[in-house]
Amino acid sequence: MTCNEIQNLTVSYLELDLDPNRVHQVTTHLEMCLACRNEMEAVRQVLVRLKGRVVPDPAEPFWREFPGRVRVRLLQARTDAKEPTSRAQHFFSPVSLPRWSWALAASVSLLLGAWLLIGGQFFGKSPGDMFTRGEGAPKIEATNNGHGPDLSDVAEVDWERAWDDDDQDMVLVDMAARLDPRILDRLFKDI
Amino acid sequence: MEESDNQLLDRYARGEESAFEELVRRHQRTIYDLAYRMLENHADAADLAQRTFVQAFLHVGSFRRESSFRTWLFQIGLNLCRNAIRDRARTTHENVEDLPLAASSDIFKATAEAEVRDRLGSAIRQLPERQREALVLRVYHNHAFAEIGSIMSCSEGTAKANYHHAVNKLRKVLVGGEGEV
Repeated sequence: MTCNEIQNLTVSYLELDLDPNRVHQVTTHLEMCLACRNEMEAVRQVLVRLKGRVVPDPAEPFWREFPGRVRVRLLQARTDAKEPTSRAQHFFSPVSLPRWSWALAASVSLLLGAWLLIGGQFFGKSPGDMFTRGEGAPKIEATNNGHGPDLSDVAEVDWERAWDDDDQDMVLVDMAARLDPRILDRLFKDI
Repeated sequence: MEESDNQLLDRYARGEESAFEELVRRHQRTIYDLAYRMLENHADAADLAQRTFVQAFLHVGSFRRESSFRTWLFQIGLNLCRNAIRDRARTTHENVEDLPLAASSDIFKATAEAEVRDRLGSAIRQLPERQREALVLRVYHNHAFAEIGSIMSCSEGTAKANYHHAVNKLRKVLVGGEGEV
């Protein structure tokens, strides 16, 4: 066998991972070759040093408490698996908002949309202009110090409770009824 | 007579909590040792060992018992180690090939013993992932190469080659490239 072949078998030889015939060949070569004997010894030193590396043993309380800690983390992992969404995700989830708030938002959007549309068609001005400077505009600013329609009546009602307790269609009618009647007249007279 | 892991798993499946505790106690030191060898500090090793058991029991239904429970734990633990090491690697970029080779005579100096230990630890840390895994499983856990292949999801021959490469690299780092001790 050549020295290169021997060096490829060094680890296996030291690990007793060769068949007997190979072991005999390597041993015979080593008896005659100083370089390969040195190489064999160098690898043996590495293995000895590797084996000598110990892991510091944590104190006994660590091992005593270990299963309990695993159990706690396992329960936590199972809980997390059942609740995949975080609180933040839940907060922003559409389904987490109450239905009455969606109805209110839709109603207000509808009214505002109609207001913008009608105001623009008839006066060619923005609603702000219409209510503050337009000649034919109703003088609603007087009801709210010039800051647009007064919605304080709408905001004061507990719509959430009303939505749950009352007929929901009637709640929507009630919401609309609490808007300033002059706004409603203006909005719907041409529809 | 001591119950086998599979018997304990059967008991655990029936809801016997004592079986859970026995399984963890039986393997906790081995898995901690593996984690420590791979991560080289107590806090990370303790955390990783716990996570290994959590993952194992969380997915125990998918354990088909084609290998031993211990081998399965090693597979899970090693996967978690790989992720942890990759996270670390994003901040460090040393390579075992970049380490200076030791002067051949240094190894015999008494004062150099600590240095050799440091160099060995450093060299092991910087081995390629698969070589390091094969080295740890072989040297510290006495696995046969076939079992190492099973744990690392590779053939027995690949496991053996990884181990041989690892030992040869460490040999070069520790005692120089000329074969002298």
